[in-house]
Amino acid sequence: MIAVFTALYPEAEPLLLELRRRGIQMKRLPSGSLTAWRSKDDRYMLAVTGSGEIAAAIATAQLLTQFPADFAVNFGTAAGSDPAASCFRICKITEETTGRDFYPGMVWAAPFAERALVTVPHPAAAPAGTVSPSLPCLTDMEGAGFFQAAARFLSTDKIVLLKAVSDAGETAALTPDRLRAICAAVAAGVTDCLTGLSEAVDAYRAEEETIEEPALMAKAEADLNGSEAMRLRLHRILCWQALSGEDLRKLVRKLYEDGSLPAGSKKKGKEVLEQLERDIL
Amino acid sequence: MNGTFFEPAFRYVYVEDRAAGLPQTRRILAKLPQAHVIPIRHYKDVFNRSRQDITAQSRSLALILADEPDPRVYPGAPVCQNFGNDAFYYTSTVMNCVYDCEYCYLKGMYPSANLVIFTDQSRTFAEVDRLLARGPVYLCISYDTDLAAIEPLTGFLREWYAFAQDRPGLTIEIRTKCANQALLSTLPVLSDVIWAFTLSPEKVAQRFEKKAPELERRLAAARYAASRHIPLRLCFDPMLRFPGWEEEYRKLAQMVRDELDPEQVRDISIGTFRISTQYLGQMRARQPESPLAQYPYTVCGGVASYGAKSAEMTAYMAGLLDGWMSRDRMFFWNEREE
Ligand code: SF4
Repeated sequence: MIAVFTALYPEAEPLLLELRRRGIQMKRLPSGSLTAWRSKDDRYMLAVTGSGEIAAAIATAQLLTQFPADFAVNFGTAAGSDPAASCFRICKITEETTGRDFYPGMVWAAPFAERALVTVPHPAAAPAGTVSPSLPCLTDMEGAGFFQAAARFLSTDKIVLLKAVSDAGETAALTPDRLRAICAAVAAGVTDCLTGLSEAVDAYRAEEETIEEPALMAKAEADLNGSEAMRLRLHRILCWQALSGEDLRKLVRKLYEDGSLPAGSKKKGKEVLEQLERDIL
Repeated sequence: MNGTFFEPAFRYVYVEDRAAGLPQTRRILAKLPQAHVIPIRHYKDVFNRSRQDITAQSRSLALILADEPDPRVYPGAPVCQNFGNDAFYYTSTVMNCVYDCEYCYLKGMYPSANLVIFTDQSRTFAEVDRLLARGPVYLCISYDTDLAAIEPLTGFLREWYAFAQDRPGLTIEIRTKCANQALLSTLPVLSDVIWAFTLSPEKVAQRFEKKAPELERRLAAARYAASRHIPLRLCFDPMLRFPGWEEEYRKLAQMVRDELDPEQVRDISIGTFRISTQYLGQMRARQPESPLAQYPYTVCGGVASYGAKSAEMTAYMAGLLDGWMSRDRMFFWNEREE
């Protein structure tokens, strides 16, 4: 599941509309302290956190506790000197109040240029400038809080921040309609990125080799009648066999057919284990 | 998995503030014009982050360029073969490796798959000089990495050759799976700089060393090194145990016997897979699907290995090479050396 967090409803609404336009039905979660939607196929969640670092951190932690996610994405607006409604991926976050830096992983492909982000406790009066000549900065009020909370649940390589430039520090001009319009302008690109992440999750899962017959293994381990260390050792032998492409079913069946399992005692279980190690390792 | 899900390798380069101004750093960056540079205060801010996804990172390596105030020279670990040298050291001017072998201890050792390069080697050279003042030094320079594989980026081997040229008493080993003959052709030949090629059966190379050059190419590179009279070592280490291992190692030994002249090989090294239990625990957690990680190893003195089977495996390999190379030029790692 891709869990997306925005600070304000006008930032979430264009994404909801874009997802719906693509046939992804987002259903509002039963009313609680969190305003959130979940797609019918469980691929996406979208939550409105409220503005500020603490609100972002609380809502992120709350949602990720209830709904384990594969990726956490923070999407929203930020001040910066780039043209309004241009969208960027954040590669470095600085929390202004503490001076701490955070680094979201940049492993997954995203069709956006990179910017650094400074998270400040108040609406930015001016853009934060640049980190280096090649890395201009944006300013927001949530990024660092969101990141720290999400990093409690997910690998930092599964945390993504996407920011659309709203203004160059003229916060008075930022009406809900203006925010909505800016986010609507980038919603298609952001949604492409979200669907890309979702497809990556599918591909990643499909690629993982799975060990066959977990029930068969569990039964054999229980029938060994041994200590936890013995059970673990048999488990590793069976895993190694299965992952090496050997026929696990045949091996276990043979153990039952020749009377090795179930082992009547711990002593017998130990003998079975030793024999197995001699035979196949 | 489709590569388009991932950013290309070295798309992002994190540069430590204190390394940014170094000429060596600028030289490396100049070779990566497409890279996006992200300034950082300390390499550990990125490299040591908690909860990194090493598997995903290995599909899209980031580069971290750093500077280290302390020399990066260390005494050899007990799990390493010292080839009869008492003053056995290794350097670690690069952390992590582009080849990403499934059995590599680096996967258990570091919290990240990203590559850290300490761009200025001068302090390491100075430390080696200090050690040389006390006596001969045997130094592995391609240790927590494969230096030859990234030579086009770093130029480190060239720096080591220049350093070693007038340092009697210094013997250097360059351990590698790299098959870059063009590189071998441009480096000078020094009698105390040994190229040690790790050779694995084709099946092992295909399954567990997916990003390293295939066996054929490594053998061709070793042959080429021999033809240039580059001191050559062949490493059958780590030997792995898997269904049908004997036949695979028999085929490997046959290829070596067919393709290389033993007179052009300085020595060989044979050892079975072993790893500290701490690193094995990390590997198991990170690679639950890996047969190598899941093998029920025998643990002794904090080292997981094939136990008594290690001696059987090394003896088998030595037997396959008997008659081609004399035993006094074979070096073994076995349980007793722990
Ligand atoms: S080549 Fe050596 S250092 Fe590199 S990944 Fe493989 S085993 Fe590790």
